[in-house]
Amino acid sequence: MDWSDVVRAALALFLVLTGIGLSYMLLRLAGVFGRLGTALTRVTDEVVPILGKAQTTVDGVNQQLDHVDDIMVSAVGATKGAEKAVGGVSRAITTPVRKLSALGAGLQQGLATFRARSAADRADRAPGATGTARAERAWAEKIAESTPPGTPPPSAPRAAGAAETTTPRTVPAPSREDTDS
Amino acid sequence: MRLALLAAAGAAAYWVITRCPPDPREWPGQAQDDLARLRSQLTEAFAAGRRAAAERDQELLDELEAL
Repeated sequence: MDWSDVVRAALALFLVLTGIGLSYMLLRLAGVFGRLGTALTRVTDEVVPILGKAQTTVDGVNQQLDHVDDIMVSAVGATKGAEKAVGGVSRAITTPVRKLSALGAGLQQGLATFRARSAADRADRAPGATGTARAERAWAEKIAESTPPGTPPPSAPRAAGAAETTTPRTVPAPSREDTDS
Repeated sequence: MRLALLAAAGAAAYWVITRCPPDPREWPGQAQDDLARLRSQLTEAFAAGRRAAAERDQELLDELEAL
């Protein structure tokens, strides 16, 4: 028995031990693959129904979103209707008030103008009146009394009316009986 | 009641007498002048009232639109 036989025996022992180790490793690897296949089967069996349920849930959410869209459209329509109703009510309330206020202002201004014009005519017809100047002075005084400060004064009497009012009245001549007596 | 009617008639007669000239022949002319003057006054007052009402209406409309 020489050294070559010893080396061969050692190599044979090494190979035998290597084969035993590889066999053990492969057995364990087979077990690992078996458990992995089982796990994958379980995951597949559990995830697929979950995905189906998720799909159903997403479909439901989409339907609800469609309903929400319809609700929003209805809400927008209701808002527009309410806006129109409020506008109509506002107009129905404010229009008579506005008309009444305008009527009151018109009556007030008309009465003031009528009084001023009457005063001017009376001043013009009064004994000793000097004609247009006196009428215009009375007109200006009445307008100053009746018009609140800050508002533009109304127009002056028309020229034709002024001419009518400022025409001196003819005093009847004394009759013969009066002169005789 | 009769006394009130009598007072009203007296007041009306006094008003007519004070406004009318002494000569009855001038009454128609006086009445025409008074009517013409009253028509002119009413026309002018009506025009002024319409202008004031339109201005007030426009002011209120502007205030409402500004809200």
